[in-house]
Amino acid sequence: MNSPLLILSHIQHSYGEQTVVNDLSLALKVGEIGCLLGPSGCGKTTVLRCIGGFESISSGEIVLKGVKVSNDRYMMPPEQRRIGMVFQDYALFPHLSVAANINFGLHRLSKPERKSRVNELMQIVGLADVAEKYPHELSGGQQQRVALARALAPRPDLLLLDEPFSNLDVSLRERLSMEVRDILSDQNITAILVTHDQHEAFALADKIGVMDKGQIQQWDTAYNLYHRPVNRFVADFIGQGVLLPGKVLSPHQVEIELGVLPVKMLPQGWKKPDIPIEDCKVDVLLRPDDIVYDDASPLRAVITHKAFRGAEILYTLRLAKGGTVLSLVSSHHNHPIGEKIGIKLEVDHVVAFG
Amino acid sequence: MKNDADVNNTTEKVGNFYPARFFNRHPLITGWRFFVFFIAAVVLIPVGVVISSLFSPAGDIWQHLLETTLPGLLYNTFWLALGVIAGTSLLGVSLAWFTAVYEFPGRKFFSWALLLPFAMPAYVTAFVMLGIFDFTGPIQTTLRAWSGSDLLWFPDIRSRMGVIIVMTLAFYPYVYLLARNAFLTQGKRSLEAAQSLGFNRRQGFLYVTLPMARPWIAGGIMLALMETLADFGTVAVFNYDTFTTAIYKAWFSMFSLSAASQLASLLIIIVFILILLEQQLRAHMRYAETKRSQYASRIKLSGWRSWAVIGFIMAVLFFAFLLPVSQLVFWAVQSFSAGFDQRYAEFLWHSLLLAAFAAFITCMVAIMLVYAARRHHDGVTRAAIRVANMGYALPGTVLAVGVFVPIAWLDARLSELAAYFFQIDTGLLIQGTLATMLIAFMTRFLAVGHFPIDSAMQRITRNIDEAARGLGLSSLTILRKIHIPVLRSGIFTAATLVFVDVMKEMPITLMTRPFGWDTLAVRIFEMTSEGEWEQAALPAVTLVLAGMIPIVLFLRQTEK
Amino acid sequence: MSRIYIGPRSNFKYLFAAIPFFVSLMVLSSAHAEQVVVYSARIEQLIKPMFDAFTKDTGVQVKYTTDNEGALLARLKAEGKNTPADILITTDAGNLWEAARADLLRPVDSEILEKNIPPYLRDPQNRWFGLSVRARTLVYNTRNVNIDDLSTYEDLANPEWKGRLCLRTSKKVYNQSLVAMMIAEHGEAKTEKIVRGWVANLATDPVSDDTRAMEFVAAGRCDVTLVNSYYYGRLMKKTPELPIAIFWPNQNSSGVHVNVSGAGITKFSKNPQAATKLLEYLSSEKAQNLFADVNMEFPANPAVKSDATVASWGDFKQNSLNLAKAGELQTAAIKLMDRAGYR
Repeated sequence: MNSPLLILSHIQHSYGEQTVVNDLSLALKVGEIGCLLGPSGCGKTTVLRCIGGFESISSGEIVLKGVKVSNDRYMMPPEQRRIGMVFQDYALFPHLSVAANINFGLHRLSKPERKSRVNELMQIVGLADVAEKYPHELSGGQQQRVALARALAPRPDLLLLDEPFSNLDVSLRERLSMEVRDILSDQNITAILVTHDQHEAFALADKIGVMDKGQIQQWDTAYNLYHRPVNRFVADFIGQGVLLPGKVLSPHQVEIELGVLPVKMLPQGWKKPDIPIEDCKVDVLLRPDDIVYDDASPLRAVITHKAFRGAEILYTLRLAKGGTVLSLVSSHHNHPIGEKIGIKLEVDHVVAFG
Repeated sequence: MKNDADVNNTTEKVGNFYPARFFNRHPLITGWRFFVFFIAAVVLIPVGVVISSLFSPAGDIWQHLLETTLPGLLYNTFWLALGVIAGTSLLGVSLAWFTAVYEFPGRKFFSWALLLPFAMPAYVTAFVMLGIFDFTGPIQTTLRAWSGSDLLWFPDIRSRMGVIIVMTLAFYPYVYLLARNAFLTQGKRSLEAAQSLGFNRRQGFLYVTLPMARPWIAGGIMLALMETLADFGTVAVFNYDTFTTAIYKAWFSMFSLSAASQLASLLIIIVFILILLEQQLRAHMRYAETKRSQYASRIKLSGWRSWAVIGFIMAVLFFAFLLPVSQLVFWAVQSFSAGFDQRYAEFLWHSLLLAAFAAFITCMVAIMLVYAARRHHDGVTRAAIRVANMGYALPGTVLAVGVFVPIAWLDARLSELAAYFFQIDTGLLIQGTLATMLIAFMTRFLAVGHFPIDSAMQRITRNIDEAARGLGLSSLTILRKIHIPVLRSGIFTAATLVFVDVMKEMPITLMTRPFGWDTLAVRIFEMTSEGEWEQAALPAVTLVLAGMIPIVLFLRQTEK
Repeated sequence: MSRIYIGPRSNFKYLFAAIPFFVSLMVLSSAHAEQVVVYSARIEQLIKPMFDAFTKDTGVQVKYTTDNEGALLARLKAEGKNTPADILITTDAGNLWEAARADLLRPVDSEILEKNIPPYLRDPQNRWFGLSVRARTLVYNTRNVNIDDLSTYEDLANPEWKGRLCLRTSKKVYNQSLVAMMIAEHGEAKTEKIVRGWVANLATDPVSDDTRAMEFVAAGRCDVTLVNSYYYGRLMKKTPELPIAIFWPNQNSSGVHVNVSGAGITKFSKNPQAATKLLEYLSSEKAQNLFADVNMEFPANPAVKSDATVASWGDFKQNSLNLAKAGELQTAAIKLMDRAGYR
């Protein structure tokens, strides 16, 4: 029962000479919402299209509900996969009304069944009053809901969402992504979302895969991506922070400008052969919340930049030896640029890269 | 820097005198609407000349027609129209689908080669096909000699089916071109959406792609239908009597202008109703496609499917183009010594010049009309635009006379005025000039230019206009800087269609050309009117070759 | 300097720039050195040689344009007294009759024309003159038809020709003229019976032109047809081996139906003297040979001999009823053929 609904193992997709997806694997359980997050051009949409059956794979295999749907020789047509898809531009059928759009995928049901399903979905997405309108008469948010309702209508085993909120304004985006999350978990839908917006990913997904250069760099929860990134790319792409150079004192201690930090485990390969341990250098990731404001602290840093965030202010600070760190400080503590403030380190676990 | 500022300043000042600005400030009497009404009036005058005799008595000719030939003519016309609609849409849409969506050997070549039959005048295809497949043609003659029987079971090409097939082969490029344009610009996104909802590609095509391309397909079919209804040459070759035959007969054989006009008016009304119906059907829908799918990779066909598609395309090309052209070339070589004339260069030059000017003017006017409709989507403007497209449905000679009568009248008034005020005899000022010809061509072919540009415009969202106006651009500037570049492929399509149509056109060319200003079409007329089809082959081949020029040029533009 | 930059934005400039261009397109027809303007339904190849000869002999220029008869008549009517045309040439008498009826032609007082053109080939009021004779005659398959069985147009309506007759469409004016002349001779009732007989005897649907009708006869689809003799001449010149021959019908009665390619001077001709000169020239011996021979027709001037090939088809008696009847009764003929189901 607990076996994954969707398994991608070592899939590869090339477009001409260029390898767009390279040896990518992931698994998703029923009811889980996964997300592929990455900058544009990282291949995330291609993965989605491979799962949907719109693109072929040149090696590896895709298994859906225990059935091989794609490998290097075979590709089950999209219409047989029972996968719903919400497209970035919604791809609503302009010649059909809202109700007809939602009804479109229900061709295997009887007439009364179809009618009740369409009504049900329009209730779910809150569109009951625009049933007879045409897509061009709707707002962007409404079109989004129609696209979602249309994709959900045939009760797909898996729902794919391709940058679903990128055409909406920020406030709507947040509201809708919450709503979509609720709808999906209410209906126990398994889904994969593709986005370049980490907030969208955090809001919706159970598991997130950060992608770069056609590969998943890390497949993990939002918390872990933020606090335990496995490499520099993930650390850099997720959240804010800086890398400060550090000196390895022992396999469990690293010294940086702000002091000595205990380390559970250093990154693989930190120890270069032929180099004495005290000469080994690593970079330590410091998030803005790792640096805490403390007037009493002897550690002082100059404010070089500040960004007001409402409840908090994000200060960019220059340390005595020239290193730069970020600090998120309650906005009660409003200091002008150029002032020196006291800070201290509050690091739960240290992340270092060789 | 200083120079730049200077430039901007001057531009501003001059800008105040833009007519466009003036119009913008007075939305009730906008230049755009005025322009539409003016063009509609220009087209309406010849149509009006025809309709004006609607209520004048036509003697007992009506009675006679009703009792004898009219029911049969209507029956014939109805089935011909239906057959050509079915044939052109089947052929045009399927070919467009194959070349737009699939990948198979030779696809690039076929996709433009399939437009070549458009360069063939329908009556030429008709004559050649008749020559080949009729009782005395090589096929039946050979079969008779070979089988020794009288071969009476052989289907008679001089039949309704024969006319439908020939017209389908001649007119399918209208549907093909517009449908292909729709499929290409539509992208595959909607088809993918349908697939994600459990439809296979064929169903997706039927339920999504096809309905979404409806305005384009309908536009193509309307053009083919109007051409069919207005055709005289092809049906004459087959001796197949249609409504247009009756118009010609009433006018030119029974010398009853009023009966002919009344019949023509009826034709106009029928076409107008058809246009209205077609527009009504898609009143609620808008077809601005969201975005072109970036994944427009073609579906590879292999094995027997690929060969089936190639075979189908080759068959169409063979019958619609290769066969008639080979026959023409054969005749042209035979009659070359007798038929060739050093004036051929002149004929060709005149044809090209005329076609180019007419295509330019018609497209300009069409762009303005389309843009005007965008600025003012009220009923009056739309109705006026529909009227402006009516010229295409009228039989050529009828429209030619309709154009000629008001111009002759105007000329007479002008020369009277000149005589009265200046005591000089000006002679004829307007008629017999190229300007007259160009106006007449514009009147006739506006619909041909309008459909492709209009459909292209439907794909540009209105936000673009609003954004541009927000940047303070005048409407003409928006048109020139934003719409025309985006409409490019639509404009090229329109220009090609008009260009080739003008080259093939006969009655208007004959009636309005200046003295001695003969074209290839005139040459074809001269030969064919005396039944010298072999002699007509040389100008016909030249015409077809010249007609291929814009088709090839145009395809370079759209095949990117 | 800055002015140069204004251009691209002032769009209407292009329109204004275009005006002189269009004015220049209006090539005015000036220059009134003696010239005659001809509207001709007879195609260029069949008129140009005579016009060139005329210009060479007289120095008078001839300007012409070609089109269908119907279109030319409509054009003359629309132009009214402003018409540039001096002469109208057609390929049949019916349209000349209609032009005269619509008051587009003027009577011509010319002894030469009256002498050269026999009365039955010209308008009783001398508004038009036939210039070449086109005989509508029988062509039969020499293998399947015994020449003794052929006699008259009327005879082709008899049941022994059932399934053996091919006809060109009734929409062609030559057939309309033929039936009109038959009405003039026999009256409507009898003519209708004859036409119905033809239709009943048809081997196949009427065809679109004379050449095809003869090819059908040659191929054995039918045995006999009605064509203008020059089409026969042309076809035989190209394919002399065809098993068909010409037969002159009605030699013991009214004679072979003839039509004319003819001309008249327009009512509002600016230059009627020169136009008359051209018509007289065209009726003269010299031009008559050219006019008729270029298309294997018969000269209208009885004093002029036919081309050798044409003469080889033998002498025949022409129907000498005035051709004006062909125009007068054309509408009646069309209606009659419609009633008889002759398409």
